[in-house]
Amino acid sequence: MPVDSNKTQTRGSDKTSRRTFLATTAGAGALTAGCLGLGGNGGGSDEINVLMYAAAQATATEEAVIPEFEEETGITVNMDTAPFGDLLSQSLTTLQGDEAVYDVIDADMSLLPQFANEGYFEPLDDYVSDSDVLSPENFIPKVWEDAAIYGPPGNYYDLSGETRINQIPYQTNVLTLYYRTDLYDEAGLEPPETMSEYESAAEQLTDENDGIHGMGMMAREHASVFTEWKSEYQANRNANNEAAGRFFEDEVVDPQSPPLGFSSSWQPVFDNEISRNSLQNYVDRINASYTPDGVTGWDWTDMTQNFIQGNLATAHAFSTTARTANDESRSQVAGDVGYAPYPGVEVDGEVARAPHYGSWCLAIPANSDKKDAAWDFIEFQHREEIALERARVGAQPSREDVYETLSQSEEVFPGSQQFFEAMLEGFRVGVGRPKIVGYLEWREMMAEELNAAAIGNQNPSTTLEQAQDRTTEILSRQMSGHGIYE
Amino acid sequence: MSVTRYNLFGNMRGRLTRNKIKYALLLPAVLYAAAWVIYPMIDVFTLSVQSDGAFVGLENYRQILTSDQFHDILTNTFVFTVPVLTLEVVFGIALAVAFNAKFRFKRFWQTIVLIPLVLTPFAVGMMFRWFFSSSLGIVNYLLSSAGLSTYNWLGDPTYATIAIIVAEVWQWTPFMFLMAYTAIQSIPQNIVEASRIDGASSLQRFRYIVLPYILPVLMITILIRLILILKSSDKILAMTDGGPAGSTTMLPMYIYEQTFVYGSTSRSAATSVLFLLLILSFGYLFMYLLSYTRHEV
Repeated sequence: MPVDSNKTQTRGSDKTSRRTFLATTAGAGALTAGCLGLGGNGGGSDEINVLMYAAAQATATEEAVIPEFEEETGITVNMDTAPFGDLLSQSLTTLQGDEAVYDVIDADMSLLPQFANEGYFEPLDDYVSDSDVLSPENFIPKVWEDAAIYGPPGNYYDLSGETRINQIPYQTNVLTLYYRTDLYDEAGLEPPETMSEYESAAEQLTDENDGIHGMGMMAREHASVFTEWKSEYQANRNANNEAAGRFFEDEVVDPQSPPLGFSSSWQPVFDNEISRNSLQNYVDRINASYTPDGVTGWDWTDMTQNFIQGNLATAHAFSTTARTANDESRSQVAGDVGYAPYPGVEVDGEVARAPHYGSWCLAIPANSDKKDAAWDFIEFQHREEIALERARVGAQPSREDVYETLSQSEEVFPGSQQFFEAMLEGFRVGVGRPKIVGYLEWREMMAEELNAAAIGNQNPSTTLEQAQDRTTEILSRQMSGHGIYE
Repeated sequence: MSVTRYNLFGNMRGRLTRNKIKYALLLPAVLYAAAWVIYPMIDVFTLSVQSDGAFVGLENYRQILTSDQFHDILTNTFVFTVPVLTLEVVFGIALAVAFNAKFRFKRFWQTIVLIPLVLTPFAVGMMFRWFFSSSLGIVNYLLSSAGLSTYNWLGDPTYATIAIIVAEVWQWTPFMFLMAYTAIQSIPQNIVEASRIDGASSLQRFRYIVLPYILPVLMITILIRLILILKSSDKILAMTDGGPAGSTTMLPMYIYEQTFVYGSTSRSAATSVLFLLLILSFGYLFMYLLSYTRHEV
């Protein structure tokens, strides 16, 4: 893979100016944190500051991790939570500053290319090798390689060099199918394995008189439209076409051959016949009678709400829906919900699946001076009994062995064994993101273009052609300095 | 003469002392502005003419001004701002005139009307997102109950724009009402009475007395609202995320994304400068109109 270490020193469209800007912001952030009593380096050595995404993982950490951790170690944990946008700006602020405001941060997998390349995170290789609790063998190899390991700073694309563990996956999620067991049983149907089976089941189960549609979709201009379409497109990786299932030239998309998501040239190749057909199928499903009107304004929240109101026979979303769907106080279909891996496509008589998956990870900012205490906290979260406890209170584990336990011997909510089994299968066949710097900008652009196709503003060919052109434009800004797009 | 010189000298000393006190009193505000307004503005401008830390002149501006996406976002901002402002002015004045009359439980109704103003914009956005949900929302439910067609409110560019306009007008009309109502209350009653005695109709009284009196306040209120509308983002993010197909993405959302999501600080700094110029132009225009209005009044 092309590496230009000299150029990586001045990488990025705005690297230096971003530093200046964020240094100013970091000052303000540190000041604010000081006012809030977050000690940062000024706090006691028995205190750590943790920043987490305001979602199930934070609630689970608060309930199932912090009290036990504090009692056992005597280390006080000050936890801040933030919604996604704020989390990102707060993370950048603390990572860019001279002194860390936070000692542990909750990092989305999509940001790792940028963060790893800048050397923002403390390498965890030694901590992991010394650990009795945490080992790469605990994880599905692909998940570990996708979420944890990346090259050294300034040499991000050289994966042949030293191992560098940047962060530990702790909240892993995958697009999963949810279905109404009562309706499927009544119709004598099994959960669909391919998209065409999904379509015919949806058609059969649609009963407009009862207000039930066979399938929900989430084609809003949002991450949901991209993950939904991508999960079908990338399943075509075995088709007789070099570009099939790939966004970039030579990109590895076979889940059995990690590391995934790297390209030798980063030339976009997703404007191809397979993707056009796949997008046309996607648009056809939106306009089909088995899908409710208005799904071009839906994301996973709408999908969940419609499913638990009994408006859908089948839905697909991420893990939060699972618990809500079987929660009697919130769901009209509680007790009648089954789970299955997200359908794939049939290629040469084989079913290939590629559900979108990702993971939140815990990392230690390189500028933290409480790295050992921070590691203790990360390690503690991954103890098997703590991971199980987190799952009981609503979080997603990341360890494979914990999923195996949850899918075989313990029910943490009605139907949870089938749910965790479907999730585990999903992780094994799932495909993550292309590992590009500026992934979020690219994804937003893709969502905008795909949504434009979904609402009928443009046809699939135009959509993919424009998206590919815009990809080149974005990457030429975001990835210049990596020896490509110079 | 000597007395005059002494007085003159004394006055000058007094004036100098007074000036020192004035400057001393002004100093904290000036320092505050320098630290939190002027320095960041200079910093933003400096960033806007750099790329990778190197001076690139107006290149960032050229890229933005020639970008189709920026043109679309400007159009979106215009398409959102004009109807919102117009509707708020019309409804605000209508409410103010209505509340100027005497009726029972007036204070209670005033409180009800003002409630949207105290809600968080993001919460209002979430509320309206569910109101306008195509399958679960009350709007489509009411339309279908009345035998009318339902709409894909948040999944179609035109309807999504209408939906965000409705939400914005709902929340901020009370502000326009409050300002207009206060201005109407300050109109001298003897003028109104005199016009009545002269036989002026309600419409004539509104046109020739009420409107000219409240116009300066209205102009200032419109300017404040214009700036706030141009800065709108949280409600729209909650309702549409800027979609469908980018049709509800506004300038502040674009700047935020460029800065904190994409990390393109130079580009976002250049956009911010353009945004500032836009707001200053409107401000200047309104101040000019205001002076003209005062002259007319």
